[in-house]
Amino acid sequence: MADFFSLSELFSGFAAVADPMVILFIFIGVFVGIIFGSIPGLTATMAIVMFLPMTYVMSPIQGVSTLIALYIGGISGGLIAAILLNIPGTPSSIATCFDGCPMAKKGEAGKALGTGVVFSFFGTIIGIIVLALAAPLIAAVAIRFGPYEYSTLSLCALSLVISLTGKDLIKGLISGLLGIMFATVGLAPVDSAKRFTLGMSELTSGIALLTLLIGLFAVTEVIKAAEEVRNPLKAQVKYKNVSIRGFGFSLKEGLAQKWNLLRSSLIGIVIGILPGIGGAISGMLSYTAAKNQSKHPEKFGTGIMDGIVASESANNAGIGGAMIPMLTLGIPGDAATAMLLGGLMVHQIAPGPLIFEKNGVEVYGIYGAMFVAAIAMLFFELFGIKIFIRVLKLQKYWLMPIIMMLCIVGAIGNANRVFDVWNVLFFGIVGFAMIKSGLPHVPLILGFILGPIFELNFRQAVQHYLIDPMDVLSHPIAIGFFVFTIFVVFYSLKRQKKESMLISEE
Amino acid sequence: MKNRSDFITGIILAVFAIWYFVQAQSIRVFSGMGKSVINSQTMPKVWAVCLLLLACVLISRPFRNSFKDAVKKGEKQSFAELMKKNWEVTATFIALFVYALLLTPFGFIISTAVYIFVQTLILAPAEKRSYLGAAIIGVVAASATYYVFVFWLDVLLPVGKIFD
Amino acid sequence: MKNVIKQTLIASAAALALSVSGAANAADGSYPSKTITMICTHGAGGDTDYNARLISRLLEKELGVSVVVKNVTGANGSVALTQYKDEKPDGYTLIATNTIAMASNEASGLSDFGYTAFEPVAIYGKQCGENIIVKADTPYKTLDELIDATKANPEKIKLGIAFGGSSYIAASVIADEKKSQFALVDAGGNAPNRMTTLLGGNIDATIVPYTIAKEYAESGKVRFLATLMSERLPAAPDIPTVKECGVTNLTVDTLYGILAPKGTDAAIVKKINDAILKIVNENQEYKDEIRRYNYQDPYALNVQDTIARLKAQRELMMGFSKYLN
Repeated sequence: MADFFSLSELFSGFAAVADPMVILFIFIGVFVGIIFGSIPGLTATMAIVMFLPMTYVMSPIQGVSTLIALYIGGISGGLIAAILLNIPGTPSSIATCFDGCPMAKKGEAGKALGTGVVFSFFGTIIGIIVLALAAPLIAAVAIRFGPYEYSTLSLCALSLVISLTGKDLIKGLISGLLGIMFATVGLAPVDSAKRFTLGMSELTSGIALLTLLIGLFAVTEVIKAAEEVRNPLKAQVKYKNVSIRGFGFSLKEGLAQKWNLLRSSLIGIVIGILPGIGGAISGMLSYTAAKNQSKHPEKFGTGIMDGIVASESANNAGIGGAMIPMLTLGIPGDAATAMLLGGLMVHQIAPGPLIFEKNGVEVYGIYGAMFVAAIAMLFFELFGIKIFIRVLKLQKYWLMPIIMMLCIVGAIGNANRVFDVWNVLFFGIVGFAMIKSGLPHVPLILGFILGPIFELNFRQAVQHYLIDPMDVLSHPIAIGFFVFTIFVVFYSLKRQKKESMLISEE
Repeated sequence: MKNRSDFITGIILAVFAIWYFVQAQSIRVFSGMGKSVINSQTMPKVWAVCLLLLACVLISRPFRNSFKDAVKKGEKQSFAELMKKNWEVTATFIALFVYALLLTPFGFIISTAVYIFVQTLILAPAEKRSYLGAAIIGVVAASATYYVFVFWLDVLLPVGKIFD
Repeated sequence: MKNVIKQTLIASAAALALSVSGAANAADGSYPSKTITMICTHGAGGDTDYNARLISRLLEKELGVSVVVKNVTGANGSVALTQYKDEKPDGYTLIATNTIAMASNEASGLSDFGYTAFEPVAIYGKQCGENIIVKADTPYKTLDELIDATKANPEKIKLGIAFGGSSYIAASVIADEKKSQFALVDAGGNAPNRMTTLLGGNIDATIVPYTIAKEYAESGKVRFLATLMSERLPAAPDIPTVKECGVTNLTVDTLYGILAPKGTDAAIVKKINDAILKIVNENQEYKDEIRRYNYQDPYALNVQDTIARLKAQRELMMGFSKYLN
């Protein structure tokens, strides 16, 4: 098994990346990626989609490095909008909003951004290390995951809705269910029956996560701005910390996050590895885990570092995780790695079991490119913080319409169709109605992402079960997930009850 | 007030759940499914029933709690008052609706410029409103965005049917 | 009043005549005079997209104008086909798709129209084909051995397929003709999923494109039993076709095709077709690229043959539609 790690190939791989042209492409890629990531409506995936054809004509290492740079820059860039605007720049930075925005509102935008950037970097690096040291071993475990494992895992993740829901459990569950139900629009899993398309051919491809996010986050932010025109918030945002020094937080504060960083990165890597789950929920899961493990869970959501660290280290560590099945199995875990896979194949790098034998140098080149991209990301974002922060000084009436326009561009560009603008409007109305009726947004997103994964795998699992019922016993991981789910449900119900009692006493 | 809103939310959700269940019954069932007991109707029906149950809990809440906090009558507002108090919100939704409506016939540049102009005026407090500023920003932002995304990034932003 | 109507009629007839002659003008040699948009029905990074982008890059040189590929994706290509079938037929909007997706969408009722809703321009490529594979540590060396095993042990050997897709059709035809008794399970609509499910030991056999399984066959993890193509793949001549294995009715050829909206001038169609034939048959860069990327061999048809091929494929798939409802 040691043949996947060779020192001489490591050097030649890194040497290939040390070419000034490649480094230039990486820096450009990261820069563009950050722009795409930080603008709500434009995502890391979209950056890769739009630049993929340009890389067809580059040399293999240039092309692949550019794509990876776009990916890393894009995923990390999402934190900027999440913190400054309360709109996730990409789906993977949803959980960064939870504490990032409150912290910025407290006047500590610099600290929030610094935390996000630094822990994005550490998350990425941890992901790369795991990828480089253990990719084939991990892939061998990940490939054992079948319908039983996925259905129980998604059920487990869905049960975390309970801890993300706030004080009103019923409303949290309703929101999660609505998310699951919206996700059923389009073609059914397994047999592709049309469901809830209302006779509109545009709906057969379902509702894009992006339009849902734009509607729920961006439109509602515009609406909030509209509500505040004549009733400004009592607590005005303070800008005292616009000039930050260093990373915005002290070494002691940073060190206190080491376990959080490790746990969250691990969650991010695991979710990244499993094909089909997608990076969007890894931040939410690690946020929940951090909250459940914390000595002060009640402070989550008020603007503490822990929340930002959990979300940002997880989504960036997920990049390394997602690369594992893509490289060693030829199986992409999400849309972004599917593009990367196409990009690799165009350049005759054949991901799969033979990649270390056939393309060893290129693989190490990829590791090297990821490393350089992580550094480029840290460089651009740390120096950029002072510029990003000026966004807060802009008047909302100048900023919001422009953001909305970019979201519309993203909605159209996502699948190249104008119809999705109507989806955005629809979910804007849904999001507004939910705020007015006290339904939380986050469970809806979790349900929307996990519902289809659960249904698909559950239906497949039932097929397997009917063929051979005893076969279930040979899936200990699935049984483990199931038991864990029951535990989580009971534990969080108990905790939830305690918390809501506390709140009602106040 | 809060309980009343829960009641209305519950009713709306219950209606939605029933409608969803009825719709689910017309989903085509694939006959050649090999061995399977669940089809494409099954899970949606389960979700619908769950939602209906939760909605019922929401509806029943005000009655259970009615002795605790009786509905405060003084806070009731007429619909017209509510609209007047928050006309910016309604205007924003209308602006977005018109924007979506104009995109295909008039193309991205014109409809976006108009939208940004209108939305900026809606969001700006009366004393800070600048018609010229909003118009300039609208035209510049719309054209620049169109240029970047269409010519550099190959996005199919609508050109506008009227230019055909 | 009557006069007004009459005048309007004449005016509109004149306008119509003008616009028709306008279209004819486009074909008299001035076409193409501006950027051509090529709508690709499948996502960036896939084989349909790669073929579309390669051919348009080379078409630019042939036609002397830009040919820009844009992806409009969703529902196995039917979203793009629905959206662009009524586009202006001026030759400046073309659609690149794979024909099996179009034919099977019609057969399964996912969309209610087929190739006849378009002016077919060309078939310009042939995918390296779907293959029936098993894990290498199983005893089955040929398709017949696998089928016999299912008869000996009915409903126990799991064949992983995508319900309603071409792998499902293949399984149904094999069951019909060879009386195989596979336990059919869904293993995901995209081929990488079916590959992982097989490698993870959750199914015993599956059907995936050659490109995906090739690396695994080379490393001794899986074994090819048969290809669904009508002829053996030149890059892998050892794999028999299902027809040779005795399944007479089954061929699934994934062809890459270019369509134009209905009503596009025949001269324009011919001009693009000529350019494509020239590239595919003569351009060495093209030949090298498709072989390296996708193990394809040059394959292109003129307009008549394209229509005939699409018709044959549609009829074949419609014959399978009894399995799809």
